Amino acid sequence: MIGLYVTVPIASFRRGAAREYWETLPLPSPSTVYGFLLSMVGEVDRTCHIGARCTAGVIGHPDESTVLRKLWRIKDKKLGLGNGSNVRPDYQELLTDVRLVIWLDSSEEVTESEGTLQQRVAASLTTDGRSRISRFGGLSLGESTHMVDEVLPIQRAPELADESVRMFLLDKSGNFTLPVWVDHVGSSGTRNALGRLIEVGFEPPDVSRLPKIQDSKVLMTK
Amino acid sequence: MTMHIFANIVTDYGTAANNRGETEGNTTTLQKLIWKGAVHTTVSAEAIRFETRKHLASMESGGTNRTWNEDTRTNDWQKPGFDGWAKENGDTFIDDDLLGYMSAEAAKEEGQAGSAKVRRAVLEVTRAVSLTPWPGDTTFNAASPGATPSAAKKGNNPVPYGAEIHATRYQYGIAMTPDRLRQSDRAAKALQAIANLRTVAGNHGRFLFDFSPAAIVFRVTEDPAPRLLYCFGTPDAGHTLSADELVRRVKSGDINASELIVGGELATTDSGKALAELGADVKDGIKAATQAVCDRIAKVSA
Repeated sequence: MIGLYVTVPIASFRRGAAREYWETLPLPSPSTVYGFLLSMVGEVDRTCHIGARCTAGVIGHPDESTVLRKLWRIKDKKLGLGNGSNVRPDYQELLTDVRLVIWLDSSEEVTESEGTLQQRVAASLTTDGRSRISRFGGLSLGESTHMVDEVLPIQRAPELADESVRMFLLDKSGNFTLPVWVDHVGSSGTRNALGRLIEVGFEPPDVSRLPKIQDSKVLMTK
Repeated sequence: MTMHIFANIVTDYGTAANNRGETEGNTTTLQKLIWKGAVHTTVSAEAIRFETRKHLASMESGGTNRTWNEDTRTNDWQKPGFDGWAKENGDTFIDDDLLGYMSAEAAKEEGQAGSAKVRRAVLEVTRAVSLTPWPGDTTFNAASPGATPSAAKKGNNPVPYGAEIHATRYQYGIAMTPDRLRQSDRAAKALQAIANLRTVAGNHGRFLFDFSPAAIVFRVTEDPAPRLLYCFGTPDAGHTLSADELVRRVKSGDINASELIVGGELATTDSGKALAELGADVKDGIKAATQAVCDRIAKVSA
């Protein structure tokens, strides 16, 4: 298992069902965390590390704000993009000064052609390792404008002993579901994990309680 | 290896009153968020991208694919189908290349799949946040009877109105991976556009807020994490600048000083001097720093 300390100055972890009012989750879902880790190591095939287990915990309580965003949508095809009723203002919740702990475990990954995600992430945190990575784009969690500022191995994080961490961990009697796989075309392929936000420290959690990244095809063949 | 360009930018000190079509009563409000426990004003990344596109249009003989038509108050498009992108050597526009696009078409019949033409932005921009908290400043004014067709249509009374204003600087960040561009020379044009950015936030002609950088910190690196976003601070309510957190990160070894190019007001501050001593390339001017980054890009691309 590998732990990361990640800072995001401004973030919004949009709820899947949010429409006109863009609510934020308190922390990124496992599927968002997985996408962030893939981006970090330059992997564009999201099925490459199926079976990885990952989750995020939020340190302290980020401040919450609501801003107005101008969004494009197609209501009238004759008007053209971004004109008239094809634009409307919507409210969006933002979190500021987001500090996260991310845990990743690759012991149950299906394919390991280029090394496990855990090995690749560990390599990307070294000067020598990152020089061999081919990747693109700003590193972000959620929207592309919500850029990640810092990623450090958790051992090198600033003194955090006094801080509380609320982490999403699996729990059969949980009260919180977050996606581990998102179907971007419809919603039938989206898979959720049932869990709970639990106050923990900075020690690695029990592996069996980390949500597992599984797409719908894998679930159907089982 | 992959070269990434990151930058953190801070504007000059000025009075912002960004009119964005939302009011409370007859007062135009500023967009705000809680930043480090206090209310700060903010300008969206989209507003910065809008002005960047305008600047890119003036730099290219063929203009940009999308332009805002001030007369009709609509967007005009040269190639709304993004035709050039289908061919490897097709003609493409600088704004589509740098700022990306998305054109999604819903399925025409039940059971069929929709289609989407999508290109992720190569030049990424973060939300701008004021360097200092907003103290609640609001101006109250009065339009004289008949000053505008909409003011005081009846009677002879003046029409009072208010505007929230903020005397401050704004800081924001950018990221770019030049390898991802269809035409590599557009990376330098993007940096030149950002270095010369103009009116991002402003209320008509009364509150012109210059969004060109007063100070800029570039980082040219293989590291996927910028580690310099929102690194500017101020010891005296926005009059002068500091970058203590950036200096700390260089000293800690998280940022290699040789990857940094600093330009503008920060150069003469204690932070600027410390960064120079640690090995960063510190220039007095924004243009000189931007050119130094463009030279590094050209050297790596050659």
